[in-house]
Amino acid sequence: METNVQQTVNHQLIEIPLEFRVACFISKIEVAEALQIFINHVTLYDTLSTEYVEGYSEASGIHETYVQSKGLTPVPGRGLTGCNELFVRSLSEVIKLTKAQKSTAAVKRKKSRSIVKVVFKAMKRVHTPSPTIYLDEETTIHLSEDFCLMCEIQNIYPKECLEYFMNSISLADGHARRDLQGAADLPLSLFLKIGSGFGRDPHTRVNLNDTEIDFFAEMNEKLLELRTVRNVEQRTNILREFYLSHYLNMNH
Amino acid sequence: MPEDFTTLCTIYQINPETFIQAFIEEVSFPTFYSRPTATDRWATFFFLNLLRKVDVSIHINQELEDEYVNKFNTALQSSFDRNGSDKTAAQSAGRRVMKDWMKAVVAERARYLTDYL
Repeated sequence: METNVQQTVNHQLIEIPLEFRVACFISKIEVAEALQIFINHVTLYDTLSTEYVEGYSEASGIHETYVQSKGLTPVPGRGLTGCNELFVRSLSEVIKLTKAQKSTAAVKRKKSRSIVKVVFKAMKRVHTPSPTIYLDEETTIHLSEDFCLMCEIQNIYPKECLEYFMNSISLADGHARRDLQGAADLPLSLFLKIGSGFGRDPHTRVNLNDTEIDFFAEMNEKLLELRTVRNVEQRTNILREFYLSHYLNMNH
Repeated sequence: MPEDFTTLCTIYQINPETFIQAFIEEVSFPTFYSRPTATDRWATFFFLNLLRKVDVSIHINQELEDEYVNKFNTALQSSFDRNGSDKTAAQSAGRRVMKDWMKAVVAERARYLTDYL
């Protein structure tokens, strides 16, 4: 007898792609920390502002790009229907802020945060019921008010956006292209920034064991040698295999 | 002369000219790519790293680089296929392609100049 099982998608459970784990491992950063830095730099202010600010422009841009990639026609955020008037007013206040000449981006973003807070309190959190997301039993990431609001405006779940970000990261592909013309895309540029310390506690100490030191020496040599592999896909495959085997070797 | 370099040369009694001569003798794609486990590859690594640092992409004809690097790889590979592990034969085969590449680059530069005459 067939039973009708209703399948529900767990919007809280995040799937972390293997290649993202590998990228984080090689960049010596925890998955949770990388995601938290991404979340912390998605803001309403930077989505509306045309000025480039390191990290914020990339993160807010990624959120935007994800929504565009879904190809949905914009509809009013379901969580905002109850406070639409307040939302529209706040939006125009933030737009005004982005155009203000006198203050710095940091000051304007701070002002924007207090505007966001008011909307955050008034809105219904349809897609972001909890400000905390569990990656596993012990690891959590915290959704900022800005990030929650951006999800509600666009009617997307944080899970979708975080998985989009993670799925866009391939260190092998990024490294394979580093000698070629054309800038890296937003997710990878942000990730490489995080990898080189952006948004992280400057006192974080990276400890490498002997196997890792050997790996990085070999990696640096391999990246140089690969100049004579002219096909990007081929280069990517060589590096992907190399990075993965290091990851598996260290995490078995 | 940089201080750290002269200090080392003085301590170890190495003539800067000797050093530079030894160094440039080891800069070689044919040698580098035919002996992946050799220990005298640092000079070519240095060269490859320099290519990254100075971003040669503005000056170099990428199409020619693609074409000749692929020829170079094929030459090395088929020499190894034919002659077993004979590295000297592979290096000569690679060196011929490098020369052709250089000629093609020079011809391309000359064409670029004469086109504007």
